[in-house]
Parts: sequence; C-alpha cells; structure tokens
Amino acid sequence: MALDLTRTALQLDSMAVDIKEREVDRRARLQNALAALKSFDVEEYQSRRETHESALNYPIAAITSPPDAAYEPPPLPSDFSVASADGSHIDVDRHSLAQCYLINIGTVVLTYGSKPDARLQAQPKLYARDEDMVLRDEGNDRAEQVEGAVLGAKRAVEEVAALAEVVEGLPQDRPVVAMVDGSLAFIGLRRGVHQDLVFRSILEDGFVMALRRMEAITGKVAVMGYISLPNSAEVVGALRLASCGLGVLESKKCGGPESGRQACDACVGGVRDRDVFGALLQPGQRSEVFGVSSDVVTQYYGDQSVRFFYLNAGSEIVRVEVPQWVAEDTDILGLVHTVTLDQCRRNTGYPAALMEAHEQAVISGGDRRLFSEMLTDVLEGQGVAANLSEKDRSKRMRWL
Amino acid sequence: MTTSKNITDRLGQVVVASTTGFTAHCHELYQAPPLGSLVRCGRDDGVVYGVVAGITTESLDPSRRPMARDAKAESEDEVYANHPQLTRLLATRFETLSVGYRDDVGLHRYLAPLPPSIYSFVHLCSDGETREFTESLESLSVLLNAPNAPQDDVAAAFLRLASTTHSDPRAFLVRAGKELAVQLIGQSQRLNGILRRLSR
Amino acid sequence: MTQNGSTGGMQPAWSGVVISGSLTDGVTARLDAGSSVEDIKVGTLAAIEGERMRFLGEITDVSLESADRNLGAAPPDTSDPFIAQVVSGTTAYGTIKVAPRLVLDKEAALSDEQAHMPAKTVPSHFSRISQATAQDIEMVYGSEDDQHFWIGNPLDMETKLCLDVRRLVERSNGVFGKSGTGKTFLTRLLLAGILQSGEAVNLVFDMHGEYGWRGSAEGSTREVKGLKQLFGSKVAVFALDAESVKRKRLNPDYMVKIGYEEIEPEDIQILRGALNLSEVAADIPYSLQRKFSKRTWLKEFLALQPEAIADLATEMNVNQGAMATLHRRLGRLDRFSFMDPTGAHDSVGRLLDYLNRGMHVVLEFGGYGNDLLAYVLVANLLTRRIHQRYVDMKERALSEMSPEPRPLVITIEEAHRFLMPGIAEQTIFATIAREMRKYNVTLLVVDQRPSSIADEIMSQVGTKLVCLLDDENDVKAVLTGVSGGSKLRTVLASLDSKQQALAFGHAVPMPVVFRTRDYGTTESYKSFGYLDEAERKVKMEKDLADLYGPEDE
Repeated sequence: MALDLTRTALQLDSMAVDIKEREVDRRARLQNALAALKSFDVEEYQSRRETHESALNYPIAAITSPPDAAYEPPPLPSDFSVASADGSHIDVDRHSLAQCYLINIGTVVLTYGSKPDARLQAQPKLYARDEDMVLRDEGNDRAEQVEGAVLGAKRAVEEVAALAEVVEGLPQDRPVVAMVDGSLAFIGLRRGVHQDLVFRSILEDGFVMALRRMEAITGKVAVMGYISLPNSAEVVGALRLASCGLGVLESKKCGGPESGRQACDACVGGVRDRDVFGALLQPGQRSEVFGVSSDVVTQYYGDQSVRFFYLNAGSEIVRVEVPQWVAEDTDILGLVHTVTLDQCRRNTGYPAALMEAHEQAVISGGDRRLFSEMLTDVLEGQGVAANLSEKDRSKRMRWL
Repeated sequence: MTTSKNITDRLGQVVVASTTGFTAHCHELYQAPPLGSLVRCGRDDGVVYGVVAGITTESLDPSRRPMARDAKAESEDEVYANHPQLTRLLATRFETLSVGYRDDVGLHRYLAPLPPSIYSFVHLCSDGETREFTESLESLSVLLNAPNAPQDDVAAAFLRLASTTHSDPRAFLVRAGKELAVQLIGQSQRLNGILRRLSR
Repeated sequence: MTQNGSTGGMQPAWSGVVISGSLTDGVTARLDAGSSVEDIKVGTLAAIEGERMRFLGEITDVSLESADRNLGAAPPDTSDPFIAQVVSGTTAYGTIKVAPRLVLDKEAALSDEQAHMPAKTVPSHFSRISQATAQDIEMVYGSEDDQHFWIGNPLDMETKLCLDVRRLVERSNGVFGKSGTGKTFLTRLLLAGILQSGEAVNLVFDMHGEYGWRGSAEGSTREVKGLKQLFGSKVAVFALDAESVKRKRLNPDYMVKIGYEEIEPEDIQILRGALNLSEVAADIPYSLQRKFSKRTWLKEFLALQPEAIADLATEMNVNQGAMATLHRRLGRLDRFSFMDPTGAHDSVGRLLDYLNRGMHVVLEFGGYGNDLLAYVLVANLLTRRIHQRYVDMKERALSEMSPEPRPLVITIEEAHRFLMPGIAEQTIFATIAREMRKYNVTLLVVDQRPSSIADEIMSQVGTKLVCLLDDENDVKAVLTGVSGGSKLRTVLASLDSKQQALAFGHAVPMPVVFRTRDYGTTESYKSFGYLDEAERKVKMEKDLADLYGPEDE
C-alpha cells in the first residue's frame, strides 16, 4: 500500500517546528554550559561530588583542574609508529548444532618518518571448546554463555591483547601509539545484567592484563581508545552538578530534559560534552584530562583506571581515553595528542591505523555465508545434521 | 636454477593459472616487468614461459577505491611516505600469455601441457634465456591471436625487448618482421601497425 | 665432388625455394627474403638442390607476387627502410620460373661424361634454388681444353662457358640475330674455336671482309684482327675482287677465277632469284647444255646475237621471250672480273689443296660482297664442287681404307638467300644440312632473318647461337623443333642487344645465355695465343734454343 505522503508532509512540518524550537533551547543551554565551564570552581565541585555523586542519576567526570584549559599539540616526532587493532566476530548460531564463534582480529603497524613501512595482518580464530563457550566460576556453579554482549566484550579483550602482542614485538627506538577503536572503559558489560564472574574473567584477567603488558614495555609506548562522535556528557554532568541552581539533591525539581519539567535558566541538561568542547577548542587543541567515573573501572581496573580528554581533530570533536599511566606522563600524553591528530589529518578525519585495522578485521557478508557453508559441510561430513531449527531452514530456503 | 640463486630477480608469484597463461602478483608494488617481457615460472622439472600481456595496479580490496590524497604533497613518493599502508593495500599484477615451456627434453615453443601451480615463483628471463627462446619465433602466433589482449602491442613490445638480447638487433627485427608478415597475411593494416612500432 | 650450392663459400647472389612446377611448364620458386627480383635476369642458370639430384636449368621468367590481396589497399610504408626490408620477400615476394634441363649426379666426378643427364622429373617441394655455381657450369659444359672452346661467360657469372667443338662440328650450326647484335663477332669466335681445336677446317664465304685479314668492330669503324693475323700460318685468304685487292694492298694467297666452262645449269637454277628469272627461263640452260656442249654452253649462248636467240628458241621449242630474258640476264656475269670466258681454272682444286693440308680458307668477296648475284653464284658453285669432291673422297676412303677427308665447316652469310623455301631444295646447302656429316661437310649458317630459311633446314641445324631477335617470326623460326622452346622465348626476347647470346642444341647440354668472350682487345688476342712482334722474336729465339741448345755451349 502506498504511503500517504500528504499526511506525512504535514507531520514533517510540525516536526521541523519542534526541532527548531528545541535547537534554540539547546543553544541557550550550551551558552550556560560554557559559562559554567569558565567559572568552574574545582574545590567546590570536589565537595559537591563527594556529597552527592552516589545519588545522581547521571554520570559525572572527575575534574581536578580547571576544565576550560586548552592545549596545543606538541611537535610530531620525526619517526614513530602507530599500532592498531580491531576485531569482528561471527556470533554463535543458536539454530546450529555446532556451538562456536569466530573472532577475526586485524592488526596494523604504520611506521612514519625516515623508513616508512606498513604491516597489515588479520588473524581469525575459531572458538568451539566448552571452556570457550561458557564462563564458569571456580568456586560455585555459576556460569555465563559467551555470546552477544559477552562475546563482544571478549572480542575487545582479544583486540587489546593482539595489540599488546604487536607492540611488544616492535623495536623500541621510536615512540609507539597503540590505539583501539572505542572506549577503554565501557566495553558493553553492564552491572546488574552480567555476573561478577564475567567482569572478573573478561576485565581483570583479560583487558586490564593486556593494558598492563603495554605499560610494562620499556620504550615510549602509549595506549589509547579512540571514540568518534562521542555522545558522552560526563563533563556536562559535572557542570550541571556544579551549577544547578535548583539544588542537586532535589533532582526531582530539576528541569533536565529527562524530567519533562520546566528547566531553570542556568540549566545545562541535554548538552553533550562534544558540543561544549567544540565551542571551546580550536582545531588541533585538546582539552584538560578528566577521570572516568565508573563503578566498573573503580572495581575491576585497579591501577589501570581510565582517563580521557577531548580533541578537536579538525572535522569533529573526538574523545580519547587513556590509562592512568599515560595521562600522568606529559610526554606520552603529548604523543597521544599529536599522533592522534596526525592520524586524523592523514586520513581525512579518522585515524588511518584504525581504518586499516578495521579493514583487516571486517568479515564481509559473503565471508559470513561462506563460513556458514563450510561449517555445514564439515558437520555433514561427520554425519551430523547441521541445522536443528525449522525457522532457520525456512530462512535459508525462501519460497513462494 | 635454484630458487635461492634467483631470489633477486624474482618478480612475484602466480595467483591465476590456466593453460593459456598465468597472472602473477608482484612482491613489490609497481615491480611488474614491462609489457612484452619474457618471464618464466616453475622449477627445474617444468618451466613455463610467458610473455607479459597486461599489467594492472589496483586496490587489493575491490570495494575500496583509491582516492586522490595529499593535494599539497610535493612528490608522489611523499604521498606513499605519508601513507605507508598504501603499498600494502595496492597490488600490481601482470598477466602473461603462455608461449612455451621447458622439460627434460628441451625447449618447446608452444603451450605447456599443464599450467604452473598457484604461488609458483615468477622470474624475469635473463638475456641469454630470452635470446635462446627467440631464436625461433613460432610463439608469435600465440601473441597475435590472444583473445582479450592488446595483441599487436604485446607482440611489438616482445620483439623490441627480445631484439636487445641479440647481437644484431636490427637483423633480428627484420627476421621477426618477416615472420609477422607471414602470420598476418591478409591483415596488412595490422602488419603495418606493428612494423611501425618496431621501426622506431 | 661436393655440391654445396655456393660459390667459393660466398653467399649466393640470390636464393629461393621451389613451391610448384611441372616438367612441361617449368618449376616455380619463391625468392628468399634477401633476394630481390631486380638482381635476377632471365636466362641466368639456376641450380636446384633436390633430395637426391641437383637440377640445372635456366630462368625463363621473373614475376612479382603478393601474399595479401589487400596489399594494394593498405600498402606498407616502404619509405621506412626497415619496413621495406621486412615486406620484401614476405608480403611481397618475387618468383622465378626455371626450366629444369639437366640433373647432375651428386656423386659423379667432374670429368665424368655421364655426370649429367636430361631432367626427366622436377625437384621436390621446397628444394633450395640458387644461381648455378662454377662447378655446375664446368660439369655441364666442360672446362677449357683442346676440345672445349671458351666462348664467353654465363650470364652474371665469371666462370668460362665452353663449347664442345667436337660435338659442334658433328652437325650444321647456325648463328642468328638481327643486324648489329654481334653475329659477326660470335661467328669469328666460333671460327677461331674450330681452328684452335683442329677438329675441322673452315671454308668461309666472307661476304663483307670480316674474317680474313681484318674485320670491323661492331658498331664502330675500329678495326679488329682477322683470322689471318691471329693464326697466320693456318689461314689462307682467297680473294675474288682483284681491284679491291689492289686498292687495299692485300696479298691474298690465291685469286679465285671461274671459267664459263665451270658453270652448270644447276648453278643458274639457284640464281633464279638473284636474276629474277621465270621458272621457264631458269630451266632453259639444261636444254642449252644438250644443244651445245657440257662445257661450252654458256660461252656459246652468250656469244649469240639477239637475232639468233629467236631462231634458237624456235629451234629448241622454248619460249622466245624467256630465252631472250635469260640471255640478257646472264650477260651480267660478263661484268664479273673473276669470270673468265676463255679457259678453265681449278679454283676448287686449289681450295681443296689448302683444306686438305689443314689450312682454313677465307674467301673474301671484296667489292662483290654487295652483289648478291656474285655471292650466291660463287658460294654455291664452289660448295657444289667441294661437296662433290668430299663425297668422292669419303667414298674412296670407305672402299680403299684411305684417310678420311678432314671435316669441313663451310660458313655462309645471308644464308637465307640459299635456304629460302623454294630455293633450298635446289641448292647444295640444303643437301649438306640434311646429310649432317655423312660426308664430313657441315655448315655454319649466319643469318639475320631465320624466318626466311626453310623450316626443314632450320630443324637440321644442330647447335644454334642466337643473339637478340625481335621479329616474332624469327624467334619462332629459331625455336622450331626445340624441346621446351616456348620457355626460351622470354629468354631470347630479354637478351641484351650487344655481346649476349643464347646457345642451345646439339653441342650444348642445356640452353645457356652467355656474354660473348671479348674479341678485339690486346688482351683478347693474347688469349688466342697471338704474339706481337717483340714477343714473337723472343719466342722464336726460345724455340731455337730448345731445338739446338743454348748458343753459349
């Protein structure tokens, strides 16, 4: 049946009016946020945070110095390498008798300067053993299937581990920036949804271990997560906490965008960090370094707690996350800053190393089908009927 | 003719092989031998000779197209230095037309009974080898009648390159030209075209 | 001997490969790329290296072929030397036609008589062909010796081409060619050849004074030495014209005189043309001979007054007008100074004396050379008598086992005068030609109008040496009865107008075009053994020394 475009057009009209009104509103809030940033009182914030953090329903960044600072990038080293890892996976097929998944990790090392070089590699690995499929606790009967979000997290671990492997193999005569795509702190696991054993297995024994391996390398090595178009509002949350006129404790009175109530004039709710730093940072500049406020990080990351800054990469504001040990070394932090910027500039906005790692890792639709067929062939060769579910069969055989 | 001895003149490896020709992937970007070069692949027990009939450099991944970069770069080399990954993402391949083979009996200037295997090493033939192969020119007919190849340009390039390996290049070209004239009876336009390419 | 198909290891001037052919039409060969049609002349001798035999033949035609019918539409850019070089011999190539004449046995020795045989087949496909080598030529035509006379050089070759004189004099021969092409030179050479070989003696009816003491070079006023100068003691010059002898201060060996008594009715018969006599008139002498006497009939007849002629005619019952005409025309003989109404002269006897001694006789006609009547009369008369004597000698030799008469070669110029259809039957020359050498007499016929000579006679001519002929009828006449004659037609037509001739027939194993040996230069005289004054003196002293030992001792 055809779409009734007349009605749709009318609806679009009214929507446009709404958007425009909201945009005006948002600009006002952004001005508020910028004002709050300028007048930010670090000590006042520290005390407010200690008092109220546990009661807040939004995340706030740890801010220990004035947040409106902007830093120019240091000069780019003449010779340096950028290592990167990315992964993709084929999830467990519930309809198949064969319980397995495949993780393909792409790693890249790009070397710039006097001896330009590139190493591109992809390493697929199939997981089908029982211990691969289920996470178990030693002491009790709890267990969790590795699939979906857990598998995604496991993949993130594999990425960082592969990165550590690559970086360990590099000569130490030149600085190395090791980057992954996405957050170092938030890798898809959520408290309340996933059991403690998952966090311990994935994070403590995997992710954090890999970060420590890289910290242990004697050369000049930096690790970072790169987040393009970040939606986070942790700094804005901090501003909100610092500047809300209505009193943070009575959050029910706050007119934030989630409340549906009239906001106060000074409200910064609904503004994202990238809006604020987009207005603050000149191209190439980075922001102050902030601390991630996350129970998961606090509980499981130990000494590898995650910090972040924003960077005007030219065409967008990106968020760069680094472990504590990187944030604390000005040299290495500067390296992260300038190399990230350089990577974006070399590759029209997105780090070249990340892009190539992704290209190495990506599993195309065709490859996925091929994998599925190979799997079926192998199973049938063993006399095992591969497909159990009728739904799956009907999906494969489309008919009239 | 051991593999190690010739590692320096190794050009690449066979990635597509058929009885009528093979395609080689160059070890190094842009390191294809010129059009018309005589190359060889295989081991002692069976060498297949091919004439380079086409060279392609393109993105390894057909879905990723190269785009213009670094408008401000001062040299093309600078572009590659700025983006070291490019040399890994682009690939140079060359296609050859099989023109003969060598077995324990000797040299044959017609199609080998079996194509080379995939990943066979491809080498550029030495001057001596090229001279020996072009002592007789039966293989010209393969080049002149190859489907999907710029036949006349390949043939002309082949002869010009081979002529430099002979002590009297001009005499060689005249002999070759006469062979062409016989092969291209009834196609005087083609013949004239090739001869013009050879005469300069 | 080995036949490697090359001359002294050098690249042959041209080469090719046999692509088609038949024995009747000849073999067609495609020229190799490096060989240009422009280097090849029709008439050149070619050798074809067959599988087991080596074939020899002459090139009869040269043509241009194209492998590509579209060549005309898209001609190659031959201004580019490279392209021109490529196209020549491939897309565009030349072919030659060769008439295989002989096969050489590859194993035979050079001197072997059986070394060559007539070709009865053609070489197989793709046999190599190239110019014949010096060895080929020697094998076929022989190398220079007493019996083999160097007559010239094969077309485009340095090798000496020799003529087997013994075979030559076995039959009557002919030298043909339009005027100014070198017939006389060639004839002089042949005479010299016969003379040097000693295979025969010559009797030359020298119409224009070309052979005796001196001759003229072709197309110029330059004089060349005659046979007498070159071979003094072996040559006698007879003269006919006393006045001319006196004027030129010559010293002939003998002045020929012919008495009226020596003329027979047959001699008048042959003068029918020259005297423009009717048949009736020409027959009257036979009646006159019966009426008068065998010896005096002519003298008596000519002595008659015109009135008496009518009576005689009535008396003899012959046409009065015819007899009057005969009387008037025969009166012309009176003007010839060599005619002697009074007595008999044994000119024939003197001639035979010389010939029998192995001397060669040149009869110079002097001023009578331009008088056909005199030439025909004298040549025929003398020849008839000589032939009669040879017949006698030969028959006596057979019965008495006495020595045979020396083979005699009689040279006649303007031969068609004697050998025209209608006249030939009556002349002694036709008889001689037909007899071959039954009585050891043969002819050397020199003529520029071979088509005027009776076919029957032409077919009896054993060896023909032909200079350029451009009249179609003459060409046809020369080639009549020659096997493969049609193939020689182009060869004949393409001869140079000077110093070139085609030889074929009895004494020539296969037809050959040659450049006539030089005659007239000091060098050429030396090659005939001629010594000038100083040299002669040296030689004489040496001969004396050889005879008597050195004077000092």
